[in-house]
Amino acid sequence: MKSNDRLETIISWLAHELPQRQAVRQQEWLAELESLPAGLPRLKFALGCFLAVWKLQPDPVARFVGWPLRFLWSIFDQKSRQVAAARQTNTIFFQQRFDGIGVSGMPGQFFKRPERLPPEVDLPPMQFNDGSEKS
Amino acid sequence: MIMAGTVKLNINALRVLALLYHATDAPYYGLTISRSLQMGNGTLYPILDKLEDGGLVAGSWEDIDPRQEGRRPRRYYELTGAGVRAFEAARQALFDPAWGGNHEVK
Repeated sequence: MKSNDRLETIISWLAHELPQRQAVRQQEWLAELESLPAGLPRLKFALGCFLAVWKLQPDPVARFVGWPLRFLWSIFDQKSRQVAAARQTNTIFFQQRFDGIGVSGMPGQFFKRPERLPPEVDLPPMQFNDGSEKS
Repeated sequence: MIMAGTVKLNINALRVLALLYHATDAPYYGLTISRSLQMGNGTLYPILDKLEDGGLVAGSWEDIDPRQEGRRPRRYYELTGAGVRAFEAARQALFDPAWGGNHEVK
């Protein structure tokens, strides 16, 4: 990712933190950013955008505490989603193996479940040792 | 601090109003206002927000085709009628006492 793209991402994110006119400011700031020469002027502009967002917050201190917390939460949330997805994948994998649908030669074949009959099939009458039948 | 309706006009807000009031050659957008007034964009945008909220300044998008021009459209700012009246009233309030209260705004 180029540094310009990073700055654009940062500025877009900052604009969305504004209490109002998020979309307008985002487009406006991106237009102004691209008209600046690369390097220090763009960094200064991004810093100015941060200050503007800071000044426009109704409760900047709470926001200041909230930003790192939300950042940490997003990392934690992402990790926990990954772990949950991995667990789900493992569960499905082992279920498949023990259901007998797994790879041939794996333990699944010894635990093959009997196929269930569809409910509309009529079962044949049971035969007893004395030759009698019972349905 | 001068009040214009519900908007409090501090010195920086008055500077922005003055610049837009005297703008005759070209419309101003954020970067040109910032450069003309030697004001950082961290100061400028909260002021523009306040002035827009108060109806003293109106922003409008530049009418260009971004693909043809090779850049995004800019947002130009100009004073509204209320903005012109607010600036003239503020100027009068600021300078009249210095001139003995007999100065007429032309």
